[in-house]
Amino acid sequence: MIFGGIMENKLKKFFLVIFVILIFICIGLTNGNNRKITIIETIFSEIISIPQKGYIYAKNWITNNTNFFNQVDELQEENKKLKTENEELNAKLINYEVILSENSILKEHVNLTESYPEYNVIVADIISESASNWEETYIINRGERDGVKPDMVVVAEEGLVGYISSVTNNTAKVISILDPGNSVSVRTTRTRDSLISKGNSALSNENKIKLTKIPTSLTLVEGDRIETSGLGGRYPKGIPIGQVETYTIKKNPVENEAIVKTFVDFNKLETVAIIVEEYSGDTN
Amino acid sequence: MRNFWVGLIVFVVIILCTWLQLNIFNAIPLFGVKANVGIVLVVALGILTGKTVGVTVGIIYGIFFDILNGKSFGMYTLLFFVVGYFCGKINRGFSKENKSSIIMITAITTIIFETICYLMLCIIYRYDFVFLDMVWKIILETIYNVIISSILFKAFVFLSEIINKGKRSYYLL
Repeated sequence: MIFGGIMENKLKKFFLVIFVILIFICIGLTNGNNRKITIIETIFSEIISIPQKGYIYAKNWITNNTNFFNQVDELQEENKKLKTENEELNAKLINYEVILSENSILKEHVNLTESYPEYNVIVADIISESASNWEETYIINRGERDGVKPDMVVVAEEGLVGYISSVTNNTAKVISILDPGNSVSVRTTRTRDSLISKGNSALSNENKIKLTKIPTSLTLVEGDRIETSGLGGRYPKGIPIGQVETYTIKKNPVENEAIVKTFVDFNKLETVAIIVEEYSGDTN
Repeated sequence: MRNFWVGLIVFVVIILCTWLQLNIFNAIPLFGVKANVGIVLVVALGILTGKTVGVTVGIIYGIFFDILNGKSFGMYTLLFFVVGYFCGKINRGFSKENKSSIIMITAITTIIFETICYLMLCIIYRYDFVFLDMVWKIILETIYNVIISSILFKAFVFLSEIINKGKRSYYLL
């Protein structure tokens, strides 16, 4: 029995020594850079790699999530920053649009002034138009305080608008050439014949006026340009009005009439100029 | 004191109607024809509240209309005054809730008002009388005014109730 026990111990020691030797041999054999991986290694590697992959995947997922949670605060802050930036940009855009519109108004004013270099003009904006269906009048934002007086002539960049009928301190009323009660002494630029233009309630919506008292000797042609003749004293001569659209010959030649389309589009009229006086050179 | 507030409310309503006329109804014409809120206002208040308010509103609105639109001062004041007077006179014969009668009177008033207005302008300013254009514009304006009158009817009834309450308290005092 005792012998059997001694033998068993010796055998155990022997196998232990053999195992250690084998390990050393393995270390010696596998200690190289360019060696092939053995099948055993592969099997072991695969066995261990499956749970390892799962572990790593889980780890990465948790780590990334943590990163995500960490990033939420940063993103929120960034979002806040971007929102503020966006608001600032929007405000700038609105300012830009205001400046753009002011610029276009100022350009219009400059163009208007430059269109009539021979006159001293005051530029004004239309603040309201007549509510009556029978009258074509406008209220402008310049009055006595700005030097505007009744009977002054009002023009737009394209041509004649009308005249000032009454003035308050800050506003003035303009009677347009489309008004059925307003007659203007005009002439054709081609033949220089004098005629009378008059507003007509049936034509005013289409920016048209009627020519009357057409001399029997005169033959108007479609497209003939009409301008103020200067007769009558109210309107200076040479201000463009419009061009002949239709010319109707009646049985009685005295009743011949022509329809003139005005150069000014009264439906879109926003800015006008009031002729204060004729320009008399250098004012120094 | 109550009368003062009623007067102030009426004045604000007149200003509001003038503003509506100049900025809203002038901007949205019906086939080139503008509505006349003044006629709608004066007719409704004249019928619903009586001669005094009708005439007062007519004169004040007419003055505003003359200043802002007319070539000469006084024509519209006179016309609105007459509208206020006659609508106020027929006040007693009307039920306050009768919408159709007020709309009908608005239509009739518009036709008479605009015809007289056009004829007066033809006489004073030597307009070329264009009958068809006159009829066409008056028909369109009448339709437009009737639509506005039916829309604003409830508001005018509410306003007239405030005015009538103010008037009763004045008579009681």
